[in-house]
Amino acid sequence: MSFAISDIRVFVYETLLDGGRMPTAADMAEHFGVTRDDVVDTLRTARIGKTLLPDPHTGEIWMAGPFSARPTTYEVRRGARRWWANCAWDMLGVANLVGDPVDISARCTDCGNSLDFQFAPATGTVPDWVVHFLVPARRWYDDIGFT
Amino acid sequence: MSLFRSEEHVGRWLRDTGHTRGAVVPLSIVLELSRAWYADPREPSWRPRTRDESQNVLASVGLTGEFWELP
Repeated sequence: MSFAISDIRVFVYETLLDGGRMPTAADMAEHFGVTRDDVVDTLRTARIGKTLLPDPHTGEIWMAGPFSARPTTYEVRRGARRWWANCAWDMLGVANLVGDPVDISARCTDCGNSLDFQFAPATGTVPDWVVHFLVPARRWYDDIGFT
Repeated sequence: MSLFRSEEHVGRWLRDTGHTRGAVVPLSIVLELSRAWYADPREPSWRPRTRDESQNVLASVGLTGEFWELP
């Protein structure tokens, strides 16, 4: 089977949204009938920013914007499916991509108290909370993990 | 892009950590931003936005000025 970065992109997001988990490079290799190295090389050279960002050491996907492969304090759930978002902005991005009502769990960055709410993309009301953007936009991609 | 219960909590966190204040945006605006920013990557027609397209998305929800200028 041949594959391109666009095929990987669609597979990653379908697996995320339908299955609630980030696929591994081995999952993608098996799906496309290629080697894991083929997948890792394709991800490394794609350079589509945070849309599919591989870990530089393992080659596994670290971020598939707005999703994080690793646990964060921004968690979105629907039934048995659970996703992590990279930041407060991304937790709403995840919810919008899920498209159905979700439960969102986060924490206040200052006091650490739980900030939980139910969110329905169709109606789109959110609590009266705020988001602090520490890094100006010109430096967002200097260190995307820190941003 | 970190979540806070209120502006007061942002101020306390900045004092405690020594970070410089960036921009504080209501979660309702961040919701508008997330809707405009994230197209469905499962769509075959999906493509990365250009820098100018991203800048326009920020401006469309009122995020303008030097702090919001992309490189």
